Amino acid sequence: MVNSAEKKLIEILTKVLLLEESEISDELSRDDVEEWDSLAHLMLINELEETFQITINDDDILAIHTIGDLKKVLKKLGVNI
Amino acid sequence: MSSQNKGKTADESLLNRILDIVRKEPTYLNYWNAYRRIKKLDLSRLQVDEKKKVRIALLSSFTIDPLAIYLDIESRIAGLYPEIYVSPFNQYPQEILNDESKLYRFNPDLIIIAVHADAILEENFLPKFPTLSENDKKNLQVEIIEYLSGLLSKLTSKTKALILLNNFVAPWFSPLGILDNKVNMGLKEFFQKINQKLADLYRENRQVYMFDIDGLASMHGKIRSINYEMYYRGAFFFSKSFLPVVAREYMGYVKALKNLTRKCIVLDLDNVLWGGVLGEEGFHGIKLGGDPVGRAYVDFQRLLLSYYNRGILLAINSKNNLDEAMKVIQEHPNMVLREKNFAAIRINWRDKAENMLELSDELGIGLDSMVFVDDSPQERERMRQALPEVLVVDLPSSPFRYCQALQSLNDFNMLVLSEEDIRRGEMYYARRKRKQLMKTKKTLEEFLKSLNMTVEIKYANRYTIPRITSLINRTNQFNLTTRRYTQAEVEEMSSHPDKFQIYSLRVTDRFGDEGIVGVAIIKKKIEKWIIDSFLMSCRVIGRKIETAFLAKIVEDAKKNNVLYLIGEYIPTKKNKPASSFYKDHGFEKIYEDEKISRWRLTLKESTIKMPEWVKMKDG
Repeated sequence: MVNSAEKKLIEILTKVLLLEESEISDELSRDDVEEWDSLAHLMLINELEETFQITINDDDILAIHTIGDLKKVLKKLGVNI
Repeated sequence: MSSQNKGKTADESLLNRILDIVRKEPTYLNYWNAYRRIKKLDLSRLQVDEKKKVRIALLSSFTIDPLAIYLDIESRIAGLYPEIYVSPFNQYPQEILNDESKLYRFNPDLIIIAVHADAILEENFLPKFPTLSENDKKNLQVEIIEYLSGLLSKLTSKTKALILLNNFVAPWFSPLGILDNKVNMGLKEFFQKINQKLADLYRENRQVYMFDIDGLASMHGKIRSINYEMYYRGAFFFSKSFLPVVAREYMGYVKALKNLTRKCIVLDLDNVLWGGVLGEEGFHGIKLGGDPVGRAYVDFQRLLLSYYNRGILLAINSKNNLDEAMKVIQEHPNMVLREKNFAAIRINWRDKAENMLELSDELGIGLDSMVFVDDSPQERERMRQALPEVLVVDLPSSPFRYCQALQSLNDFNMLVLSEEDIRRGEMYYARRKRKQLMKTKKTLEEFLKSLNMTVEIKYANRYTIPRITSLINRTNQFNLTTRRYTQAEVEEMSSHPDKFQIYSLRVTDRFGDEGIVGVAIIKKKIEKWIIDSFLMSCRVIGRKIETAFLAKIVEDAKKNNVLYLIGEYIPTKKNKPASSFYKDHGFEKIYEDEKISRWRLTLKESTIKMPEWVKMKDG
C-alpha cells in the first residue's frame, strides 16, 4: 500500500522527469534520466517543497543524486514516506 | 487512408491527449509535463497552415524558461503551432546587437524583452538611492531609457517582429518609508516615471508595445509575484502563481497578432443581464439595480457597455417571450444596455446553437469570433458540443463575480483600433433599423427620403488618409477602376493639389454615422478632369449616394472651368455592379477595348442633378 504522501511523490517524479511509475527505484540517478537536468532538478525541489510544506536546505539540494537520496532528505524533514 | 495520414492523425490525437491533461488541471506541474512531452514528439509530419504558426523569442535578464513553457502550451490550446526561442541567460544585449545572432536567425514573429531593473542598474543602486540628488536620479532615468530605446531601435531596424518590452515593476518597498513621496522623486516614483516615459516614447509606434508587468504584479500582489527560494537558487523571477497571470497577458498579444480576436459577445438575458427569470418574476420582479444582487447586474451591464463603446459587438440569444423581454430592454428604468446597443437579437424558444448560427450569418462574423455568456451550465455544454469554435465563458454561479470572469478574458485584443472599429456596434444597429424601415415604405424613393441622409464630401487630409487608403485597397464591388495605392502614394498625390484632387465621402443618416464610405481621385489636366478612381463601400450602395458624389465632382469641375469630365471603367471579376455607372449618368462612351472603357461628360451641355433626398455638407 502506498500512502498519500508517497502517491504525491510518485506523481511529481513521473511528471517532472517523464518517467513511468515502474521505472522509479531508489537507485535511479541523475545520470540515468535524460530529463533530469538542472532546470528539472529545481522544478522537482520546488514542487516537493510546496507540496509537503518544507524547505530543503541548499547543501542537500546539491547532494541529491538519486531517488534514494531524495527520499532520505524528505524523511529527514518529516515527510511520511 | 494512407499510412502517412494515419501517422499524422495519430500525432494530432496524441498532442491533444497531452493538452487535455492541462485543460483539465492547469497546474504548473502539468504544464511542465506537457511541454517536455510535446518537445519529444516528432511533429514534422503535421502539415500546419502558415497562419497557425507563431515564432516567439524570449530575451531576458533572468531565467525565463518557465514562461516559455506556459506560452508554448497556451498557444497550442489556442490552436496555434508555436516555436519558442529562449535566448541564453542574460545575453539579451549581445543577441540584439549582433547581426548574426541566433535571435535574428530564428526569425521571430514576436519578441518578448523581460529585463529586470537589477540587470541595468549598478549593484549598489538601492543602498545609494537615499543619497542621490534629484538630478542624479533624473540622469539615471535618462540613461536607462536611452539604453533600452537604443536596443529597441537596433531591433526594429533588423526585424519586422512585434516587440513587447516589459516595463519595470515599481518596488513596494522604499528605504524612505512613509516619506517616499515627500522627497524629490522617491524610489517608487523613480520607476513609475520611467514606465510613463517609455509608454509615451512608444505610444505612436506600431511595432513596439510596452508590456505592463508592473500593473500585472500589482494585480497579483507584488510580494506573491516572486518566489525568493527560486530567485536565489536559479534566478527565476516569476512565482508559480504569477506565471499563468503573466502568460495570459502575453497571450492577449499573441492572439491579436494571429487574428484570433473575438468580436461579438452573445448574451443570455435571465440571470445574465438581470437577476431572476422574467417569465416568472415579471417586469417588476426581476433584480436590476436596488439590492446588492441587482447592483451587480447593473455593473455587469456597464462593463458590457464599455466593451460596446470600444467596438465589441453585443447580441442577445435568449429563451424568452420576445415582447416581454423587449419591454424590459426598452423601458426598465435600470437597464444600462438598450436596444440600440445590440447588433442582433434572437429572443425565442429555439435551440441556442441554431440561434448562434443565425447570428453569425446575420452579422457576417465567424463563430470563431463569438463569445457566449449564459448562466445555465446545460446551455453552455450544449453550445460547446454543437459549436466548438464559439468561446463559452465559464460564468461563476454568483453574479458578484460576473464582471471578473469577463475581465479575465484576453480574447478581445487588437493591435490597432480605428475609429470605424470603435463605432462598429452603432453601424450594425443602424443597418438593422434601416432594413426594418425599408419594409414599411412602398417605394425606394420614399425610403431614401425618410432616411434624412447627409453627405459630407471633403478633400483628403492627414486624418482621413489612413481610412481612404484602406478603402482603396479593400473595395472590390463598387470600384470603377480597382487601382490600389499605398498610403505613401495617396499622401504624395494629396500634396499636389494642382495635379490631383482626392475626395472622401462620409454619410450620416437618421440612424447614425457610417463614417467615410467613398473615395474619388481626380487627375487634373488642361480642360479635362479624369476620374482615376471612384469607389464606395458596398454598405451604402443602393442609396444613390454615388450620384451625389458624382454631382459634387461635376460641380467642382464646372467651377474650375473644366470642359470635360472623363470616367474610366476597368472590368474585374467582382466589379460588375459598377459597370453601367457612367452610362446611367449620361456619359458618352468614347473608347472601349476588353481592358478598359472611357466615358465623357461635356460639362457645357450636361450636368448631374443632386438627388433631392441628399443634403450636402461642404467640408
